[in-house]
Amino acid sequence: MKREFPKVDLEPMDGSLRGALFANPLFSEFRRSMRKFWTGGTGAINAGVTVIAAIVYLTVLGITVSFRESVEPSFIWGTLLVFLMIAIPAVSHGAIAGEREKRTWDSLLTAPLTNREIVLGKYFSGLGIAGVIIAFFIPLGPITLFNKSVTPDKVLGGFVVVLGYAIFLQALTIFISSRCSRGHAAQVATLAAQFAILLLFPVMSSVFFQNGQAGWQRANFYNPWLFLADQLGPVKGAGFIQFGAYIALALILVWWTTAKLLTQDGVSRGGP
Amino acid sequence: MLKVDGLRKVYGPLVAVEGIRFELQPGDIFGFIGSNGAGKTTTIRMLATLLEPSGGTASLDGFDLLTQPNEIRRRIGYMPDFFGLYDDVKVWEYLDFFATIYRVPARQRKEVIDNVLELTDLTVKRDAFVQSLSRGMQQRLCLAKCLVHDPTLLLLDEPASGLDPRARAELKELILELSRMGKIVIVSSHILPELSDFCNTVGIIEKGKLLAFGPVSQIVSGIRQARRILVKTLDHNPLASQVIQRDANVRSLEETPGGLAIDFVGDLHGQANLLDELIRQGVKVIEFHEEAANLQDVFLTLTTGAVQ
Repeated sequence: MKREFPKVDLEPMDGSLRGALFANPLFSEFRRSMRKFWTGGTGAINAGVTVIAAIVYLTVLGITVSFRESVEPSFIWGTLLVFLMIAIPAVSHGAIAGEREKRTWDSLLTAPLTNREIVLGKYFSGLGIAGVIIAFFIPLGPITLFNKSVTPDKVLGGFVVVLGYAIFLQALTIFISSRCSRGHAAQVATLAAQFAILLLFPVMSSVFFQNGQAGWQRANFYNPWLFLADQLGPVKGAGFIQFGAYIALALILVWWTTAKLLTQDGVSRGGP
Repeated sequence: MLKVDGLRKVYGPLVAVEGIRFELQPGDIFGFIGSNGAGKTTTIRMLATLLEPSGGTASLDGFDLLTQPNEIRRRIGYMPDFFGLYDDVKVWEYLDFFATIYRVPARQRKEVIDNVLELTDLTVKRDAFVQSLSRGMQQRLCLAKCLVHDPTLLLLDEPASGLDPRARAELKELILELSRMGKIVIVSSHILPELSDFCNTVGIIEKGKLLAFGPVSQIVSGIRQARRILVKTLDHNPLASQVIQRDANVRSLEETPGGLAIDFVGDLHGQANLLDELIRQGVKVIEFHEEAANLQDVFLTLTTGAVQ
């Protein structure tokens, strides 16, 4: 007997940037990435790290409240930065490389999704844990205003630098993941890239551009650690300039990943 | 309808696929045959929009592979030769994820998932985790994933590899069912007898060139100058050989352990006349039939085993 399926009327494709940002079917991956964080190959490690992170967070919270009249925003945002530097690659390193490793990548590429939808879908689906961490730290920032030497613009400036770095780091992780065929290789490469960005580049920048305040300013422009350590920089509007730079770098990386999306075999998928 | 028009893929000096042309209609099951490295997977990957052709094109239901890849993607289901599955989800969640990204409307998803689970006989595994399924079941789940959006064309690259005989038989039945549903199915396989069992059309590819295309029987008859008729008699009556050799349509006669093998150039009427003459002359015929098309012989005749 000939079997009949009821006709499936697929929803129309919207290849626009707006569609990729607000009606992206790949956002459904968020739930899977959250579950995978706990149940995947590194689930037990992630659970252990989460417990340690919770202890560290509670300690930071205790110190902030207890020493609210002397605590600096750099303490809060510096700790948040450490959390994000570890959490973002831990959650997103396998976004594309993990699919290749499991050989599920081509199944996704043959679905009616534009490259932009795939990359932005992966980008935002992996930001869940980072969002939770940031949400926990945001209330700590205003507590530092009890310190008379701290002004609101310094609190906000420090926060936007860390936020900008997180946005950039997620883009960097997705970019590196798109170029690797194994998830853990992507994770190691992302950590190595962070090391280069946060340490080697500012040091070389100081050496090549020489000494003194100019070299230091140039270095802390790129490095959120140094920026925070320098008590949010001497430049007016500091923080927002760095934020803009990180967003620009993130956009370049997302665009690059989208334009050169590779299949399981490392061949360009083509298309928008 | 699928129309492949001069599809070509070049990697530097290497021509992986050279001007392949064929057409398939709804309900066709096309067996794609070739040695490793012949160009089967490259062709299938081009049709799956994973590889950009260096030349030529293809169209499915009027949509062009090169200029409308997303329209093609909405109409194909692709199962790669080495496929993977997300192992941290349940069967229904896996299918729901793909139904979502194929833009199956939310109100239809449950019904669609129930249908494909029933078709692939996985309903009882609906709430099982994907990694707990056997290899055969995972194969069927991968096929179920290819069906959630009701595609026109299914591209199955070596779907039977690694399956036990029972799982192979089940897969064959499933493919036949899909054909009855009007889908075009392209199957590549090394197991030639299996393909000739259920494919109504085959294509033989070597060094990127399609050497033969068409129904199995047509390809076999194209290779053979004559039909091969097998005759078995109750006793070894020498009269049988004499009667056969007298027939004008007989090109050669060979005695085999199973009886007499005749190369016959006549049509079906000629065959009937020969059988009639044998019986009239008193030969006790217990078998008289045309040898089944043998895809393996054709494949070995046409190809040299060369790869690029």
